[in-house]
Amino acid sequence: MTDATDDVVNPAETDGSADSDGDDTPGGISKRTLIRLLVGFGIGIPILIEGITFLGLLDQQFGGGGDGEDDTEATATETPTPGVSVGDDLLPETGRSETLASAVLREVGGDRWPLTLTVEVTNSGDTDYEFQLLSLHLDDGRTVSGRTSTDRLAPGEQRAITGEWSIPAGSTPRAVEVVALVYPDGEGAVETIERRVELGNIPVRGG
Amino acid sequence: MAYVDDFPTDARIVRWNLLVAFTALGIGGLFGMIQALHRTDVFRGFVSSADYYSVLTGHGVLLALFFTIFALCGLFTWGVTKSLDRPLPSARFTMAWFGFMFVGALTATVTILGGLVPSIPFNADVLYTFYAPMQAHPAFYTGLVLFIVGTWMAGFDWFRTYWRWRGDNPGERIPLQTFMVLVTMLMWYISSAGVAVEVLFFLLPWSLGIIESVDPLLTRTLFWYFGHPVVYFWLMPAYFIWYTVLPKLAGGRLFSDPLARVVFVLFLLLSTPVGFHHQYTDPGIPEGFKFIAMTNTMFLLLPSFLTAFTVVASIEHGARQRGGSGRLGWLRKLPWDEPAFAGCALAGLMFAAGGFSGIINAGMNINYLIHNTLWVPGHFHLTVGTASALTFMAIGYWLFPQITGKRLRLRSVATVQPYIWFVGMTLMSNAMHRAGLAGIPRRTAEPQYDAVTFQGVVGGVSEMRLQIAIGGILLFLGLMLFLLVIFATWLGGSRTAPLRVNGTLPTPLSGPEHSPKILDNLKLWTAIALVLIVLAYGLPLSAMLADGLFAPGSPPIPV
Amino acid sequence: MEIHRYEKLWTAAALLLIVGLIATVTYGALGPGVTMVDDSGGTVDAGSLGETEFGDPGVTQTGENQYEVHVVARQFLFQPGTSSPIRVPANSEVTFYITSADVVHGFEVAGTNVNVMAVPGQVSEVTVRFDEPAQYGIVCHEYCGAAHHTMAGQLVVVPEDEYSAEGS
Repeated sequence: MTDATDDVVNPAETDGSADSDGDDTPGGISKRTLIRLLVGFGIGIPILIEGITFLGLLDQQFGGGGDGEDDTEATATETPTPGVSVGDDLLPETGRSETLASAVLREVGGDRWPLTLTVEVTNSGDTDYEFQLLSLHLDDGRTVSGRTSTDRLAPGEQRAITGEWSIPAGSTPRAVEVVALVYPDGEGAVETIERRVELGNIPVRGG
Repeated sequence: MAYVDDFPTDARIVRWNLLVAFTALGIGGLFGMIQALHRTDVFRGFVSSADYYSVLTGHGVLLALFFTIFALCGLFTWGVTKSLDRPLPSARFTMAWFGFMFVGALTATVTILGGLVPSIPFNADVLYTFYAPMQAHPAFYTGLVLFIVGTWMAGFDWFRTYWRWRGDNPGERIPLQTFMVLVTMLMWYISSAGVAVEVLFFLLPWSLGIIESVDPLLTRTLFWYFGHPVVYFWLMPAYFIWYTVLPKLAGGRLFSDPLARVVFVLFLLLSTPVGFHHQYTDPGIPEGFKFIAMTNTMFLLLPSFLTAFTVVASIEHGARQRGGSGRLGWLRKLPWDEPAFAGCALAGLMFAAGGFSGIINAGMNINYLIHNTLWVPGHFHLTVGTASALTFMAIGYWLFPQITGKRLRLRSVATVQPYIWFVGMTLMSNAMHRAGLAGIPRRTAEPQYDAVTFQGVVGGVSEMRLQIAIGGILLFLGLMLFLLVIFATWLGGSRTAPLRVNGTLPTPLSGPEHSPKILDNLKLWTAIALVLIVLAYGLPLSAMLADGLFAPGSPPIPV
Repeated sequence: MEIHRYEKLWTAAALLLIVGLIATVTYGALGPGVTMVDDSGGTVDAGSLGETEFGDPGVTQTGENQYEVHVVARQFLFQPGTSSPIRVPANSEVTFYITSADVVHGFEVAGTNVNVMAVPGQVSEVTVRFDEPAQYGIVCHEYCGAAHHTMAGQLVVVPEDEYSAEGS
């Protein structure tokens, strides 16, 4: 049982000295203090974190309020995402209809994916009207520019326009900038309505 | 005399294996940090969310296949030659298996990087599990095949060395380190057959257009036939170190050689017939066979529990040799400021936690609560990510000087590094487990949904995200420190004189002479292992094959 | 082979724990009756789902408080679930039949133990009891392509008196 001694006294530079506690390492800090710091923080912090979690679990299970009366944990977002979906009007306030006919986002190879929005515009007013799709805003704050216009529509005229944006792969469309131009009857200024329209969820279509 | 002086040719192969392993670790670790920052929405500037999956594939394949297995090959080459006290028989054959592994790994890695680098025309955004019908470029599958074949050749190299030793030493017990290597490789041959069949007979020809469709459930099942035992391929080299080297690092001797043999035999028997526990929520597999997998898995706890006892007992022996006393006071006499010891000890400690979270995964109906959530990566970062990875890093500090003949440099950095890893991993894994309980999915670039709100069980979701990000950054720091030390040691000056080092491993307290000879009967244990596999997999696999090898079939869907 | 006394005790404790864990899982299967997804859903041809019950996915009533929901998971949405939530009444027993039209997907009702894989060619059959009205989020938790992280849906459990079957 004493065979271990010849291994403890190892001259290895890789193993370092194995004995007395009073040794000073080059940094001036004693070996004992070094170990205390290492183990204290290195193992102490994890024990603390795990301990807090464990107490939290116990509290959640046995303590606290609310358990038992509401077993179901609803996880859907409470308010439905406000946003224009296929079939909705993009600018309800204009009195003309601008209906989102389709919204298609396709996953393709490479780093940009095509998003197309088709809007059917009917000029049900009595003056000329124009509707434009401009920049697209993404979830992460970036913007993809674009410009598609119905051009000037006479009263009663109807046109469908399709805006296309090439968005970074994996990003989520959030809103689209639109502009509606209501032309005056005869002389006068054009009424310009600029809006940032929130878009509802557009499921990505696989290739 | 250091190992490099006694076995210069083999030392070179060990060096190459470890260097490739550590390179894979560096790249894979960098990817891990990118992921930690991206999915928590702390910083998404490195890659797009679509490219996240290329990064994730790289992280999984580089770390779970290449880092771990090249490290195993380095350690096992060292262990076999040292314990048998003879070099590997043919340097050319040794270079050949290394070549296969290296070329295979390089090929697969290049295809994965093709998802990030536009100029590379290949693509393999299929993740480490490469489930059909998602299809990667044929070069990816080819790389994997070459790599696996290389590992088979490596095993044969070690077996051959053993047979030659046996010829000169009839009747002697297999030295412990070689015993562990042989048993591990037997387990590997049995288990890697599954993924080899999956890739060679199904996925590779399918990706080349030679066959039209494959059965996704069958290929998935073949993967998980391999997918569980592979974790033991990662763990057994760590146990190999804890049993044979860690006692010495603690200043003591291994408590029991026989129990170590029992543990490895148990792994050979039980590693494979448990694969269905990765498929508890899969359709197409009868519940009875999932139950059998569950009971087999629970019994797999036994070798790990036995290991805990033996390793702690061995360390305690070492501490008492160094003057430790008292029920727990001996802990203070351990060399916590020595990086090789500290790393292995911390790795073992963390493995205990990982084992317990694994019990939850194994619990069949309990698994419903955490399947495919972030809990699962929380679990395996404790096991492969620490028990294996930190052990390999820690033993690198001890072994690298002996295989290069150069002194370890930057010792103070090495001393702190295991603790940084331990703290970082606790932060990250703790938050991942809690996030999993809330239902937050794994393998997802942006687990923030408009339609879904996650409710934290303990702590809030945004606080968990922050913790994951901080943990990930600390881990990356720990990784960089490790690579710095290795790099500095490797480049540190030329060898002026042979390194004075005592690399001998002490004999165990209870030696092989106390262990029943039957433990060395590798043929018997292999046969039993195969029987258990037939019992666990025979009927379900035949049911899947009954309606056709390729049915219900799916054509390839390239990603 | 000599085994230290403490080691024998430790081994016995470990075996006791193992048996206890198996017993716990067995209780879960027999007592509350939590069954695992298995092969009862059968197989289907993923390439021609239109010709099966999955051709018109949605909720159907099959008994007084019993419903069936056929769900198709595809890149990158659930049908139904994504464009319009799956709606079932409270106090019902709902059997889900879930399959995939392309690659392997996951179907997880966050915060619950409804957590299954959607494998092309296979049908996952799970029966769930919904007691209280609530709104749940559904997540795809198996990597299915570059837009995997956008794939989600909703499941709404409507108060009984407010529910009207949507037809097939």
